[in-house]
Amino acid sequence: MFRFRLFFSYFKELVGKVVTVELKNDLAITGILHSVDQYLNIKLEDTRVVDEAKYPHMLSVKNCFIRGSVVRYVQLPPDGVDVDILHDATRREARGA
Amino acid sequence: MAGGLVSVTERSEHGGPCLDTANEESVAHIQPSVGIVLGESSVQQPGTLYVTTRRLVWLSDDDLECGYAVNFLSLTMHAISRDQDAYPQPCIYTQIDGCDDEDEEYEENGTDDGADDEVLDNRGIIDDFSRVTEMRLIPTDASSLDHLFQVLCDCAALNPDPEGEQEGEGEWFFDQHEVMSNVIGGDHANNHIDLAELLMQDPRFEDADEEESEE
Repeated sequence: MFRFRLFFSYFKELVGKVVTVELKNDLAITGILHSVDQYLNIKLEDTRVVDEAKYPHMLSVKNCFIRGSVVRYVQLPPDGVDVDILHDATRREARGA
Repeated sequence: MAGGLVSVTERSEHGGPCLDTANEESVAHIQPSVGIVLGESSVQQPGTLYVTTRRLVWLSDDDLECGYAVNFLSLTMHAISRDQDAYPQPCIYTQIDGCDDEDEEYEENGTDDGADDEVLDNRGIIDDFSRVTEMRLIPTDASSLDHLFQVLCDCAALNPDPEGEQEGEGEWFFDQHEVMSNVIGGDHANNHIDLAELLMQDPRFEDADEEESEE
């Protein structure tokens, strides 16, 4: 899965920025990206849940660990993405996969 | 898959959980004096929390046939909750998903209030543990939360999905700079030429009926 390695290296650049992680069960969690590991397990800090109607009890939690396999997508901050670099990196990694 | 929360009625001769040593399960951390809240039910306590390399196991201190376990494969997230509006005591908040990723059953179970309402029978007692989607662990010693959180992170990382999003463990990573400067398996001097050839000849770039990569 070439996308995996690309995402991992890209996420490392986003540590410290605010991201929104949407899980496959539709839960959306916003927080500061603390770290990511090789399985794309994600740790967030100062998280708040975007859908408080569906998960009202969760509200705000301080530290949060999200299993990588349940992540549907990660919403990146608009100023955190250099689209040209991402395009180039995707092409190159596709060649090597 | 791992199946979500399960009831544990048996213990080892030492009073702890029966370990699946064939699956290399060992105890990573024991936290005494922990209460557990499953879904909307009231807190059950006191109990002892065993964090193993495969599962979270809570065993009641009073009722030797009462206990619960969930495999890390089903633990979709865990967090430290200090928000008193969410729960009065500081605790570990977790979500459990016992269903396959592709399975729509999860959404079918849910009402707007969450799936937990259907889990309780008319006495307010949980009768189907596999449908519990939220669990809180409340240690009497709140100062243990940070360490407990980290132990859960470490043990969760020991349990990636067996199918694997990647072909094998240990193949790794490319720093963004490496990705930009390295051509993996290619000829550095002929970057652009290789790319053009690749695009024309590589079946991955064919239209339409190519298979999507596994996910």
